[in-house]
Amino acid sequence: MLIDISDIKKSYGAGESRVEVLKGISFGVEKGEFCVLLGPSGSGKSTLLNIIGGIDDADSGYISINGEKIENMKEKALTDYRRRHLGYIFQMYNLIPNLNIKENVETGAYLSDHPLDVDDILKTLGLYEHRHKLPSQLSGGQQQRCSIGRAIVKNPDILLCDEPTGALDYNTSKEILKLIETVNQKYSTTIIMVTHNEAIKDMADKVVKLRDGIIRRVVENDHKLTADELDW
Amino acid sequence: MRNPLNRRLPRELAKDWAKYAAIFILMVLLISICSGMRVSNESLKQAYYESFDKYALEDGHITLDKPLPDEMRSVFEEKGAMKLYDNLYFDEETPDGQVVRVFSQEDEINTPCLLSGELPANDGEIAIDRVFAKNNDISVGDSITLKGRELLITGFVALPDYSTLFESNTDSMFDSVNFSVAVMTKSGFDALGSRNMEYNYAWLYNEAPADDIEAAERSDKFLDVVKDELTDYDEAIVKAQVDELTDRLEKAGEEYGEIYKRNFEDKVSEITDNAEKGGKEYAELYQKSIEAKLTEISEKAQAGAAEYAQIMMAAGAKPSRSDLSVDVDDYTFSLIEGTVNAMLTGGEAEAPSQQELIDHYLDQVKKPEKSELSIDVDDFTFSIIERSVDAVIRGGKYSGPTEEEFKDAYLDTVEKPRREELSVQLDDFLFGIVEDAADAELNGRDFEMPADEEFENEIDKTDIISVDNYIPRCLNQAITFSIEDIGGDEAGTMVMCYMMIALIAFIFAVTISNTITAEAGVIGTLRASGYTKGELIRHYMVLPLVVTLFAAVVGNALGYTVMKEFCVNLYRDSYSLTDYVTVWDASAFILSTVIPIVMMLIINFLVLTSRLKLSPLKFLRHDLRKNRNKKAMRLNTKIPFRTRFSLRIFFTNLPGYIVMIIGILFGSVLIAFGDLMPRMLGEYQDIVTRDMISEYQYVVYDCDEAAEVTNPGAEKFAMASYDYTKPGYLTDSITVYGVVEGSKFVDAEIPAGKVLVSTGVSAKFGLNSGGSITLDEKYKRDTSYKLDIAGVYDYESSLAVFMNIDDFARTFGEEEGYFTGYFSNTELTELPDDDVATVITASNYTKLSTQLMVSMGGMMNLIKWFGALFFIIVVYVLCKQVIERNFQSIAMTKILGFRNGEIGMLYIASTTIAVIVGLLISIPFIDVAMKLIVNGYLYTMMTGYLPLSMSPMTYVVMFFTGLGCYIVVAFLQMRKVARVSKSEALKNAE
Repeated sequence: MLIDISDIKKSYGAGESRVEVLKGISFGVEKGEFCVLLGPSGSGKSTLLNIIGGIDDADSGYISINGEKIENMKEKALTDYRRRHLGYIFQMYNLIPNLNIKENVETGAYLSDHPLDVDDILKTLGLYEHRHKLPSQLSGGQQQRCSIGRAIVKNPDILLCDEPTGALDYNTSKEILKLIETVNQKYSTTIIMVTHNEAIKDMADKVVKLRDGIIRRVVENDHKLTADELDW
Repeated sequence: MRNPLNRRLPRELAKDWAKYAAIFILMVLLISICSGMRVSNESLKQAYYESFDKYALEDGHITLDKPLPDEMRSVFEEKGAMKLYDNLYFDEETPDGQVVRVFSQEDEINTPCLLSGELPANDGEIAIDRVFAKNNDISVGDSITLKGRELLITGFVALPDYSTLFESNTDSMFDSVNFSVAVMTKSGFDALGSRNMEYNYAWLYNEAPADDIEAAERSDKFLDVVKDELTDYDEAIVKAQVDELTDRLEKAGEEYGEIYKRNFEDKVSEITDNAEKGGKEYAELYQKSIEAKLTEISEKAQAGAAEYAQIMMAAGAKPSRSDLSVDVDDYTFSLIEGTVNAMLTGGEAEAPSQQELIDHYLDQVKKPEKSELSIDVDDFTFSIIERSVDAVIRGGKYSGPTEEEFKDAYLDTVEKPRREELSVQLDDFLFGIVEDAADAELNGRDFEMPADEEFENEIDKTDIISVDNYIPRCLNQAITFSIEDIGGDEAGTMVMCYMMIALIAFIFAVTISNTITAEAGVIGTLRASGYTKGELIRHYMVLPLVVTLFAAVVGNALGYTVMKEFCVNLYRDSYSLTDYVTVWDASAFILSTVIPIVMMLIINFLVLTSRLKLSPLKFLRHDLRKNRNKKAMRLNTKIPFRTRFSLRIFFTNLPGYIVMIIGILFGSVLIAFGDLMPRMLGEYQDIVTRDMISEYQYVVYDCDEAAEVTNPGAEKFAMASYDYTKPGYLTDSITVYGVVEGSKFVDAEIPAGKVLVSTGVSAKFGLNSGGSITLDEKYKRDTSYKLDIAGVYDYESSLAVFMNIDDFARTFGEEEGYFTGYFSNTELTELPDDDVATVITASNYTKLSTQLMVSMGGMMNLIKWFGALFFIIVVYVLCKQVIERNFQSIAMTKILGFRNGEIGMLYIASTTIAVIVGLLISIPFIDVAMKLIVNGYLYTMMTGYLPLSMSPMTYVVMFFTGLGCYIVVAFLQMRKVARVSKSEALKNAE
């Protein structure tokens, strides 16, 4: 088990305004597995992803990566953990506006001791021709591709995707999903993706359905679809 | 792999070039000021200290009124362990009344440093001081008229012993406008033939003193040697003259006596001759009278005898005298009786001899009158005649009058010897002594010689040597003043620059902070991806550091060239400094480069650390508030919408506005300082004139020898200078006045044994009634006087202490009755110039402010303009930040339909509030800052006292200069608002 999530609880606020976002979440993700966290808004899926990514902390429970519990890590170790193991893709692309596409990808490569070839990534992402353009000169899909490139170029063990298609149209969304699928297959990258798009669950190895902070179901997908086959 | 984030830096620079350019310019200016000032100061200091050897700067000098005899020079050199050099000069006035002190060109001591042109080569040529020339618009090739002779100015020089143009060491301020030094060739110097020659001898010790205290001690010892040697030398000259004078007087006395005696004897002879001549005539006349008397008696006796006989014969009885019809006296009657009786008795009557008759009747004989004599004789001679003739007639002897009688009668009429008759040359005074001595002797009186002082004018002082001036180098203001001033401004300027650099660092921090807000999502992503906080801090710190580094490079380049020249020229405009070589001092690099960079590093690091402390998640959520519970400020809805809008902008951008207000305060302080100083100097001139103790303060050389002043308007006072050192302050010179009780000039009652301190002392050092002040002897170890303060005397002109004159003498070990000079509101003409060491008038004090105006006027204007520039840049950069931070909002309000003018007003209004608030806060802030600058800096870094007086006009100038600067910035920002593109702003929105 690459990722072991055990009885994660998380709440915000205090007293009457206290909201329990996660009420004891436990599941595991194998190496190379494509895991989708599915649920409506407010179900706690992004919070869980952030806790897995080490950018938020749980009130109780633990997450261990390769047997190493991240809640015991201090700030520096946590950063190091993210640096070595994680790639992040957000709904907002958060590209650096005054770096061109290639340079934005390089910001990811810079973090790794063994990065993938940037040009290869750009070619894979279909951005090679646009590599000298600034983000503002690209479409939303192209920008999201760039942010995927930035995430995967450092060759992370785990790719965390928070609604990566949330701000994209259907076609562009499918392109992005294809890319993520490619990354999963090509680099054996473990992927945990947060989405509220039910269709996407079909391309996952494992689907964790959340509602009101608890796991409603964990589905192991024996017959998963390719991104191309998805439709919504 | 190189951090790809770095590639955005040049783009960031290019994108925001105006902001970075403004900050860069400001940093360049500040760093160039720091480095320029440091390098110039170090260079000038080194040049100054090198000039000691390079230009053979004296260790001191002594000025005599006569040439120094060779034998005395040898003694001085031996006892003083030094070598003395001729350094003669004379002062001559130009037709405009400026004093030029001309030296003969020297090559062994105080050698001139040629700064431009050539040194004089011919008799009619002269090289003058560069600063004096500049202040009087004189160029090389012009001419200057001295002693009626036109001299060609061949060059400008600086003399190492006149780096500051003090005409006299007792002057309170130098005067580079009306006083200059100059050099001529030796023959030109002699040819000018000035009658104001000062025999000045400069010395160099064989072994240089270790410090000023040792120099002062050695100079004190040498002064004792000078005093002893000169006293011996002068006394020997006086004694020789006194001896010679005594001999002459003795000889003259003898000669006078002889002549006088001869004249007397001539007189006696003349009288005797007259008496003899008169005596003969008198005797003849007298003889005639006697004979007539005897004939008369004989006739009466014959007639009487006949009648007597007849009566007796007729009556038979002897008749009585009354029976005779002839009037006869008893003696004649007895003769008649005798004759008749002898005749009757047949006897023979014994007839009296003629002498008996004369003896008997001489008294009845009428003596001759003086007028009857044919020759004119005086009473005394006539009495001699009478007595001598009488004696002869009576058969006696008269030997004539005694010498005493002659003296009594004729001494006054005896012609006294005239000065020309004496073979010894005497002046009136000495001849008077001879006359008096002779007179005393003749009259049997004791003669008393006049007092020694009365012989003062008889002593030929041609060879007597007096000291006109004695100044060791450490006490010579002309040498030490400049170096004490150079560097005095450095610390303050550095601190000011650092404060401004710190402010710029905060401006950077504010702009970075805004960038962080704008780039929160990116930062969150980068942090989530594994970028460390340190990497991001370093990334955001690069630009401020690069700008600072480049500014340091350019600033140092400018500092070492343009600004160094500027700073050097600032000093060279005031001081006659010798040429210098730029010193590339490592400390300048540290002060102007390392420290600003470190400051920029620390301030930005702290601000960035604080800003980037938030978790990546918060950045991703754009939730950059540290306090989640902080609620939005509620504004009263009665406030008009536009005002509320502006207030919201104001409070949203509060950190930026706080930095802006701090910048405004700095700028305002600079503007105010630049405006205030000239006003303070002007005010000081008024204070000095108003506070003068008296129109004239005459300081005499020696109270025992100075002429007594009888002018009722004059009042004695004592004065001395002592050092006072307050911890943290420079050692100041305090003038202690001893004033008479009930003084007309110092209107204060000073309790016995206590002192009053001047307002200056009280304000500068915080000394007041009940406290005490400890004064130290200058250049003497362990000699201090602790004085109890009874109060403060309203006197702002200088640092002074007032005490009773008797207390003064007692406290400072002077004799009773000691005084230094006179206060007077009129000129004391009865005080000879020779007695007067110096006369202090209002001009002595106003000279200080006048010179400061000349020295600092330009600098103050620069500070004012620099303040305005700083103001504009700070307001511009921060105002720009506010607009840029609100780009989206501006675009949105445009989309909503607001016009450019309205939007501009909304955003500019908030900045206007900040500027107005800043300017208003500046008023009390300047007041406090000026007090801090004056009390904490000016008073601690400068000696002397300049009363702080804040003119309301300064605040007006500051306020409107600030407002003017802001209007320029506001105009630029209005244009920027107008240029905000709606689509551009929205396109970049996340």
